[in-house]
Amino acid sequence: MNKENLLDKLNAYLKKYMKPQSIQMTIAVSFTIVSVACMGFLGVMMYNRFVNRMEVMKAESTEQLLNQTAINLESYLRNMRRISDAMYYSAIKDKDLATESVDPEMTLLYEANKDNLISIACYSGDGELVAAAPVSTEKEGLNAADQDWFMAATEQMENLHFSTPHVQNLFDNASYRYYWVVSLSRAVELTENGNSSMGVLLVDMNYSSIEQLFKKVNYDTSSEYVYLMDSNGEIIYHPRQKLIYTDLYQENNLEEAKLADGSYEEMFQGSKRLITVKTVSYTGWKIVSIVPMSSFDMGLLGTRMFVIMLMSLTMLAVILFNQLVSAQIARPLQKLNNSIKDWESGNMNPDIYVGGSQETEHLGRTLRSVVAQLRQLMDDIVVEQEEKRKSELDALQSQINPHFLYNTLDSIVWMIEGERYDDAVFMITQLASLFRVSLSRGRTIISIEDEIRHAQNYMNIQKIRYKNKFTVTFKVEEEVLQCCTVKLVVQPLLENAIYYGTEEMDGDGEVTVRGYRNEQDVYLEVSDNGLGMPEEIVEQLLTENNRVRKRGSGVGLLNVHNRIALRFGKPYGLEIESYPDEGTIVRIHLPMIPYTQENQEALEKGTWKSEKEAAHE
Amino acid sequence: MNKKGFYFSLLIMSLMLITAGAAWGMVNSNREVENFQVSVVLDESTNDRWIALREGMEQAARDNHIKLNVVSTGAISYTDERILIDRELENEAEGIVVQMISSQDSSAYIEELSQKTAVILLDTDISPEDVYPAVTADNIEIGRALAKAILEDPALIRSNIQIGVLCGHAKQLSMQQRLEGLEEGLLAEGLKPTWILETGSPEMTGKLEQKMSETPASILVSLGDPETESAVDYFQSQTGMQLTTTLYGVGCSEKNVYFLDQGLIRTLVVPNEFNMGYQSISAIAEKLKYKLSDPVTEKVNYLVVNKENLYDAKNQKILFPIVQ
Repeated sequence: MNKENLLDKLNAYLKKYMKPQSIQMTIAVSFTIVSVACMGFLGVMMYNRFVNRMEVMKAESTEQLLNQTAINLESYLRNMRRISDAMYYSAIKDKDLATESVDPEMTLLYEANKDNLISIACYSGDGELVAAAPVSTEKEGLNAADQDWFMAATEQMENLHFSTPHVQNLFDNASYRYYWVVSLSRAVELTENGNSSMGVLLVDMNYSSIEQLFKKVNYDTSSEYVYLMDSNGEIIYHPRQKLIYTDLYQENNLEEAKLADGSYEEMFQGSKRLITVKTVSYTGWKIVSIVPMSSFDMGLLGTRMFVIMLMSLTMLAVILFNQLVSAQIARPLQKLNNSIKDWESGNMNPDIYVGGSQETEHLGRTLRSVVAQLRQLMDDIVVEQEEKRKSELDALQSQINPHFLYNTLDSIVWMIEGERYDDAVFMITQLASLFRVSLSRGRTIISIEDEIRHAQNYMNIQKIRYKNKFTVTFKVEEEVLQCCTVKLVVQPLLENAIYYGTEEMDGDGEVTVRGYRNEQDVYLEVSDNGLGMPEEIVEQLLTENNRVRKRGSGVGLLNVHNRIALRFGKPYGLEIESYPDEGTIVRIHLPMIPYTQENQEALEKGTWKSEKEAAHE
Repeated sequence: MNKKGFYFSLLIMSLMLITAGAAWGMVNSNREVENFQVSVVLDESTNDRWIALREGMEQAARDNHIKLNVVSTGAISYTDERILIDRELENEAEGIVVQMISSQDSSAYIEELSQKTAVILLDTDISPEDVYPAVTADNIEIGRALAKAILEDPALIRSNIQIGVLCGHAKQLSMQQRLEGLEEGLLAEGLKPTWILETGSPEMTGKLEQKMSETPASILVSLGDPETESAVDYFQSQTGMQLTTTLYGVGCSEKNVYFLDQGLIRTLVVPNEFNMGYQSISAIAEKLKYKLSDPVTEKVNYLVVNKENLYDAKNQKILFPIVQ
């Protein structure tokens, strides 16, 4: 796998699993990771330091133990040397053995030290026994000169020689006892009949004294132990001595004999051991302490468990504490976020949370202020729109009056001049009624009844003007008369019907105004039997690009449509059907709203909203 | 519970478990290692000849945390031995190391005993051989070593050789095997025992005296430590008489070693009883610690010692007990 693939995989993995999390999760996880990492690092460091310190302490205590053991052993050996010295310098050297015996002094010394001694003996240079204590029978056929201790003494006459442990092979013991001894031998000068000759003085130390000394050191049954060897690595004492002799146990004594005093680490038979070596003076013997690292580890098991327990307990506490702290920090933010979600979902009057830390509280207050300002702005926009709509309506209405008034008044003048006074009165009456409805005390929403009356007044005037060139029929159901409508919506349609429907016809025009209810809607239809329009023109009538005024009051279909839609909502307005040479039907679609003061006022203020419009939004 | 909640609970549970485990480990870290109680049933267990064996057993007991109980016995019979074992089991011994007085008809008993407790046979196996774990000397080889010592003795006068054999516990397989090895070795040179004396220790010296007076043997071979001591006792009783019999024996007691040193015994074959003791207790410790372990029969080595090599550095380390 090449490096790029690996990076891609890592990147994909991070993308997959490192998605943005909640703030609480992020805080809790990051705090926990940092805390656990720090704690783990500190724990490991402290544990290592503790272990190192323990190792040093162990080495120091072992050295102290070895020093103490060496002191005890040296004391014992010094005592043996003193016995040898006392025997030699106080008895043997001063006496002529031909006439005097050394037995009393030898026996005295033996008796004084018999706990540590097996025997004291003096041999002539050719291995013959001169004196011994306790008094014993020498073995038959024995030649002491062949024994190692004797040869060592005669080979290096100036020294004292300590042997390794061996079974004493000098005297006959009828109780079948054999003694393990460490022999201290030295060459001595024997005087017989005034002649000096070389002899050997032997002090056989009881090996069990050394054994007891080391057994006390090795009282512990753990795998740590101390053993003793001579300078050649020959084992003098070992807690598993017999096992070593019978090949059931191995010791690294030959290698360790080469080491100088001090502490070392070694690998032996697959296990790591801390060894400490101390050399005993006089003899060159070495006391060696062995501490297997496994036993050291066993001793540290409790500490290790304690560290693990402490770390896991602290981790537990840190995780729970982090959880609490992160929740404390994140909860106000979550509440604030929930408020925003509520706002997003359409509640324009959300309860913005204000609380938590100073920053969060400030954020909440600011947001609450922003929401209030926004709401105020929206209200202002609604009012502004309303004002705009009203002014637009007023402008439309003002567009009707001058043109129509001019024509009507012109007709009345002609009637008066033609002395058609009754017609003039009728015309003026209709005009007055028309204006009354138009004004409607400044209201925009009027009842359909008034709107129809306005239409009738208008048609009556127009019929006179057009000399009954067309007929008009009103068929309005009773139940729709008391419903709400925007005023002056029918009149522009009638005007269009007259101009575009009937004026250019050869025959009489027919204009029909119908009003009816269909479920919860009201329809006012203005139909004519005029020339009609092609479908393409019909499609463009209610679009912005058709606002071309040709004739009439100038109030276009689009304006009527927009006024209705503005007031009642987008589902409402005009629907146009037209067929060439057949005529046109323009249908006003209104919601069925009873004409009450409450509804009228709501519609005037623009706060009324139909179900359809709500659904449409 | 959602996924995050599940993982969080899992983490908390894991940490709680680790804490509890570490606390348990901390409390138990200083607890003493379990001690098993093992009883050893030997014939004449207080006899000096078992010193090396007991030394080995005690060393193994220390190494393996065994509470060792060597039952004090005199010369015991086949029946006494079973009573002693039952008594040890009642005293809640978890393992038994036993030197069977009789290797015949013991199979069913050992089988039954093995169902109740861990058992290691010591010194001698039973018939059929190698069915139950045992720690013994290589007895056939010991017999052969005796024959070899006899045949290679420069002082051997081959004419009119009369070989007497002392075989105490003849019902023990170890004795039978030593005899088998001896006969096999002798037969190689066309020799065979003139007589074989099979009797227990207390009567051995008297019966030997009688046998020697009836059919004097020029070579006396004792196949066990008590038999060698009996032979020594017989020789000592013949004070003032010219000894024409050479003694070859098996043994390890200080008395036998002493008389080897004195020249009364020409050659002594010494089973490594320290090893036997050590390995028997180690084997039963293993069996107790690891219930599924299946110890096998182990054979320990032996030394062939005479007056000349008695004090050799290697021999003295094995022959003479360090424990005083």
